[in-house]
Amino acid sequence: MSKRTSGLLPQVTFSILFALSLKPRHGYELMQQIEHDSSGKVQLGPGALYGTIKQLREANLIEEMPFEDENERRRYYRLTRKGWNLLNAELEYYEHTVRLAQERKLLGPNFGAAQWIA
Amino acid sequence: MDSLKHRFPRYSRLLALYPADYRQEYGGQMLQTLADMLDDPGRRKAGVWGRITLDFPLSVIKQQLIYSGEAMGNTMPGYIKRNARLGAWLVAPFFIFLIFDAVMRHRLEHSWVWHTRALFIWLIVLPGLAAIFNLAALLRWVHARRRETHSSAWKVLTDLRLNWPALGMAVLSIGILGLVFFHDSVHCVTGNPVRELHNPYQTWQCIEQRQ
Repeated sequence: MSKRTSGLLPQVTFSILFALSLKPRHGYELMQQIEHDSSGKVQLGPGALYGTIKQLREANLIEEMPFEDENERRRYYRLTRKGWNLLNAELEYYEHTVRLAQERKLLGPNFGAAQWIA
Repeated sequence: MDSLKHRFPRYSRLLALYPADYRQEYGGQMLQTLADMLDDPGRRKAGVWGRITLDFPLSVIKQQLIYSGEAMGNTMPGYIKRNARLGAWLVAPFFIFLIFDAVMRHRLEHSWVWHTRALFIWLIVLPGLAAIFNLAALLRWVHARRRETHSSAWKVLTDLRLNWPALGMAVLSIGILGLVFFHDSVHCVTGNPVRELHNPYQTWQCIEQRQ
């Protein structure tokens, strides 16, 4: 596992990085992908979406792709190397957590075998 | 972007509430995203507008706070921050003594803090100095800013994003002085300007008797 060992990225930040992991997307595509990935649990409005995009760009985790037409209103964003590494570290943390949860029978086919301890 | 401005005139006007830099960079994209949401046959329009209603005010507040924080850290002149901090220290005794007096059930009024000279210092001199320092900072700000931007003095003075600490402190300290010098209740009853703030019934009776 990389040095970053805690899954502490805010939900929206993680969702955007995760949605950009497959290909560059513009705002609405990002919104749709995030909704799809979260089974509709994470629903963003334009304000929250672009506010987070701004933060991620300032942190150099994503970047705007070059565009030819100035009048094109849709801007495409992609992960930077730094963003990719951060996403990987985050996913490794989740993978580790899920593996632990399975070992403790908190997930998977044996779900329910563990008892709530008062 | 003009066609979208015509399509969503209210939303595009509301975008003016975002900081200028943010609006310039993302305003067009936000309009486009809204259009995409509404044009998506899989979405109910009421749902989209409901989401916008929740999302918009929160994101405006968030962006304005971020902008103010950045402006305070980078753009706001040092003398505005310095004088506002100094002003805060100078008016602090006023609030500290009032709170202590209230908590100690007015026992502070029999201590040295309520002697005329001490009263004079923390009621008049210290807030007066706070007012002077912050008014001076505001004057300097207006002068410098007018030379930079060629805007009117009023416009510069009301650019709260960059001068709010000094303006706020000036209003607060002048407010304290105004309360001490001009409020009816202050001159009434005992001549104790602070006590009356805690005794509205007695103050009211006194004012009625004077009338």
